[in-house]
Amino acid sequence: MRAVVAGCLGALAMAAPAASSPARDADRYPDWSGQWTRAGSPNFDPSKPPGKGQQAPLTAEAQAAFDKVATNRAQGGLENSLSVTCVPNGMPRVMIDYETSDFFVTPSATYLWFDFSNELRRIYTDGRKWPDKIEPSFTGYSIGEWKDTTGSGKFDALEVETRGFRGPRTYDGTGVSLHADNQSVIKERLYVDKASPALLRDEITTTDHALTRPWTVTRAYKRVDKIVWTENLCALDTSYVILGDENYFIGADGYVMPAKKDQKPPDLRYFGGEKQ
Amino acid sequence: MRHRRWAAALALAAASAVSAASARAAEDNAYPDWSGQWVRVGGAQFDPSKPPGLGQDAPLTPEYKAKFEQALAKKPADATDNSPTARCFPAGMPRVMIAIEPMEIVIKPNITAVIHSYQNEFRRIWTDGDSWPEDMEQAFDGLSIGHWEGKDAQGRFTTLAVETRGLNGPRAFDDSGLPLADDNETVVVEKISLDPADADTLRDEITTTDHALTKPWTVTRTYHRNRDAVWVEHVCAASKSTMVIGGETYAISADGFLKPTRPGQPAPDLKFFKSATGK
Repeated sequence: MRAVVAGCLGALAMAAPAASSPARDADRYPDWSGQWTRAGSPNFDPSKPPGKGQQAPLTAEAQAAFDKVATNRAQGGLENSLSVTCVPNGMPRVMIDYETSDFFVTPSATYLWFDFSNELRRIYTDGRKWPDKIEPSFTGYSIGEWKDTTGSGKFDALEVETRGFRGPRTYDGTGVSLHADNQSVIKERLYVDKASPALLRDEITTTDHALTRPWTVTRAYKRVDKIVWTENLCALDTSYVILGDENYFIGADGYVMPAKKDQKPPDLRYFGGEKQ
Repeated sequence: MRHRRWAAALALAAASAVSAASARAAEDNAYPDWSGQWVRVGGAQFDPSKPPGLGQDAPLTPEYKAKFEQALAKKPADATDNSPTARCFPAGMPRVMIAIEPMEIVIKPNITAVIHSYQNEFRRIWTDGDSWPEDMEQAFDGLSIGHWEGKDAQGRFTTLAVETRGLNGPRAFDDSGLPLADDNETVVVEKISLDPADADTLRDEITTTDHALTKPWTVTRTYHRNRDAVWVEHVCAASKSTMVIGGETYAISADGFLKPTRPGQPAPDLKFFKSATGK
């Protein structure tokens, strides 16, 4: 699980954001404190219908894999929905922000914490270069740069590039996969909408070997007026389990149940002659 | 999903974050430099100065001592008994401050965040002067209110004093299953400060008051600063090796199948499967 991958990510490698000397004046940073919550649907591209309606520019191979997932789902399966078994969403899916999120902006890093399953992103803004080796993770390694787009002396946009992934990851709950090689590169531009200061926007461009071209999606988040932090602990609440290649339900009484009609019971090959 | 509402105190906390920018810059210089990665010093038992298990000499009530001895007797055959993290539950307070894996501390004037790399447990310690809310939402890491104390030669605060209440469970002090009371009425008081003689050593004096204890229990944990941090993701669900079915704990093999955790353990009851029951 902890294998270290090379930081040079082959054909998908992109130039790091220009690492200007980090500003030290705390006054220059925007106040993004408080609590944000998803605006729009939980489809990865909230402007389009889910599943095939997303029109993700999938390669033929990725499209075939998604068709197989869709068939499984139609039968009641949960193929490619690892998050129901509490595996993190990772990038870019975590930016759907299923529940609520928190921004900690400091000069050297911005921390994004998502209360849905405790996912954390560190976006380094200390001018660092890409390391030679990146520890792979579901949310990846992010380097950002603050922008002052109006010349006011205050930063108003955060540009981010993220690499160094671990998987499997999907774009959303429908099970459209990112490539298993985990060489995704994701660029973002985060900013508060000037016309609607209570809206934060994230332009997300994903480059991935399961896509024929970069896919850009814009998501929005609403600032919450009355903050309510909720402990969303997947391990306490999940009703799903994957055994072998099959997903099952765990019933209210704690027993394994089929997730689809006529599903075979779990393989108990390790129980020898024990009574079932 | 559980949707439990945190109390109104948190809304007030956000409001208090709005301060004059210039004042904020000045305030930032009032806080100590606790940046970097803090790595646990000492064992993974709750009191690192004593042996694990009964050797901790925790001041348990007779009721909870009996429960603890029962849990110890079942180990290692059923290693998850009374050790909630084995089921991917959060460690919660005060166990999370063992810092099984490294942690980071981010200080802002109104709040200090303690970010643990093990399962991304995230503690918000509010230092905005707010008082305890009347109606507190329960959480494994509780609701923490702190204040800064002491000043060093540069005029920076030296100590973060914290009180934590409003806890959720089940929690244990450490992996041995050393219990906290089921009522979750734990109160944890901490004093966190750098060693005056070593800026790369941080200490947390943790005093736990709980109905499983006959008196408050004080333990001091130490952390060493790594200024060249490499953060490693510790996702319990991605490496989950046990699960509970019908009250029995089973292992999950490397190839994804259920395995017994003890000799002679019966296979799980598959009563809901037609082909298993012959119905």
